[in-house]
Amino acid sequence: MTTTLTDPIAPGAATRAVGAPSGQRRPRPTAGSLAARYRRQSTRRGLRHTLLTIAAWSIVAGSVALFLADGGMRQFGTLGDAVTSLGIIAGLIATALMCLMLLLTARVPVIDQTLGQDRATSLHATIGRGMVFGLLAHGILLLLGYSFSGKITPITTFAGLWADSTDFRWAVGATALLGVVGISSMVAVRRKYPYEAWFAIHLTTYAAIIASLPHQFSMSGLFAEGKLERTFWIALWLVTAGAMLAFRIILPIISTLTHRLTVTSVVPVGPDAVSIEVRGRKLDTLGATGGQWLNWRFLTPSLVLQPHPFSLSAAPTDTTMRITVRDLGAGTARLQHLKPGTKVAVEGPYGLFSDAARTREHVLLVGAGIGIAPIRALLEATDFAPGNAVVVLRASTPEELYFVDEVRDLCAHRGAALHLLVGPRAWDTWVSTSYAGARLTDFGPWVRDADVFVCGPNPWMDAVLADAEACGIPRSQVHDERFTW
Amino acid sequence: MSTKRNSAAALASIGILATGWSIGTAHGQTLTKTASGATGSGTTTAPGSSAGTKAGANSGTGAGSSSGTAAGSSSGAAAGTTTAGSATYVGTRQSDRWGSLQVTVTVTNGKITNVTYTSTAGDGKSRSIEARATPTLKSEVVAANSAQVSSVSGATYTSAKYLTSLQSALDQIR
Repeated sequence: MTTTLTDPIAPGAATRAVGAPSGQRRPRPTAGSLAARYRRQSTRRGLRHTLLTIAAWSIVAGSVALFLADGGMRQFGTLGDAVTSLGIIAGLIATALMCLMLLLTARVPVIDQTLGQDRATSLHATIGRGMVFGLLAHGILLLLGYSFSGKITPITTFAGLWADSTDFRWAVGATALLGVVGISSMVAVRRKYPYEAWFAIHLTTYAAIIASLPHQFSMSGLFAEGKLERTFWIALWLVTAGAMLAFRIILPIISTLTHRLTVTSVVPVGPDAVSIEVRGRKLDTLGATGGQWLNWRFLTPSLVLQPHPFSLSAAPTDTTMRITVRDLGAGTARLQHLKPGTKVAVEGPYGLFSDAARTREHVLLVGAGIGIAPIRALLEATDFAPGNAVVVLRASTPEELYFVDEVRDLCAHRGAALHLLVGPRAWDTWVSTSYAGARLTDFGPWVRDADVFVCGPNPWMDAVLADAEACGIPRSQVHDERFTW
Repeated sequence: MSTKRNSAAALASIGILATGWSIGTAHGQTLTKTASGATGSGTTTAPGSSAGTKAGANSGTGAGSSSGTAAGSSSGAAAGTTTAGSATYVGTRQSDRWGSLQVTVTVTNGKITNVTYTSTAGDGKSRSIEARATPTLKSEVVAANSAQVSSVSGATYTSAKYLTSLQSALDQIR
């Protein structure tokens, strides 16, 4: 069904004011050059993705290959040996997966700019489930294998190892801790705890990993002293730890010291949101662009321990950045009373909800509620020729159409059409009743061949994504980022 | 695209595994030869261990630790810890091609009361042999109050490493 859209702000002559001053610093691009540029960008990102995938698999395969290279294939002669060998392989795979998980959360720039932090995190969780099973298999198979070979019960084997080896006791403790972390990370359980509790539990993973390290080197014949395998294993752990240290600790500290951000103003926007503007030095070198997010840590006694992931709500300038925060919980409520002059530490910028994700020359930006903020920043930062962009904003009430005036101005200057979908949602679709029946493809003749950026509440985003799939828009052209930790 | 990507990665992984396997097979043949040549030669002492024995012989720390836990795996050195009435002595680390083993002995009033060990043997067979043989060795040693006990059948190498390390620990007692 094709609906003719009646738009309160139709892309008429005024909105196509080509050449109007917009505060935009780039020369206005032509459609043809953009199509080529974004296609190249998309190809490069695909290539990076392929290389990273190969590297990730290679780490896992390489760990098993170490066992094979050490003559592992000959250790399948008896039942005991075979079970033991499988246990060793399970441990090697689980440990390699553990390193991959850490690398995925280390906020390594190339991973962030290829997968996006949210995809990296969900991959981290997926791998985590397999990793926990691998660790359990490692423990159980080795106990069984030793028991079969020694013709003693698994309990005797366990007791023997427990009595003989401190490193074994540490490893058992590590497995128990990781089990706790795994259970607490599962979504169903996670929702019952506040973020801080979940984060504290997660920090214990580091303790668990450290506790598991000694037995890898002391009890394993594979990684015995003087062997090449030991060097590989040490290198794997050093690279992982180095990435965590460099990108999660050192780089944010350098950023914070370099840019010296302070809050300059806290201004209410809409019924329950505030815009926080910060000023700092050399923000051009921070490399943030509209649509990206940073982890913000406001240095007041009550807020210093809570980093908050917030998207920019305007493209940053060389000296200022702006975020917009809606009162969603105890932590964000306190942000509404921030005083100008408060110092700010940042980690980032992160995320692919930006020009870097573009694959096509046309773009459809769809935002709802406070999700309009990153859409607004992206609108300012991404390139398109006049007439090749459509912005769709959705809110239950006109007050919740955050930044509608700024978006209207930007659309007019850049030559983008704007649709405002205000009022209750039409059934379980993502549009308002005033647009009942409208599909994504009704907002432009080129939507199937456009990039679609979606930001808003999760259930609403699911509805938009379902519509995109139903409309036949390839998933690689649909861009969404979610902030459910 | 994601299928292609994963196929490429799977292919690379298979290549890596095949490389590992072929190295393992080639390496295995040399290992077997070495092993047959080395039969009967018994244990070899870890490099630097004799120096370590002398250096560590009288280093009582008095930390009150009487747990028979061996020090880190990187050291081939022997060390002793003395507390009132009871002392622990760490033997030299004894290595062979299955890994190294190091014994810690607790002596109370001139009697061996406990023996513990750490081992770097990683393959299942060695671990299981150790798990089977060491309780026997320990009870024999405690009963005989010396390292002069017979080795456990089917665990010749383990027994040799265990008893040699034990003797070096007992040698520290003056």
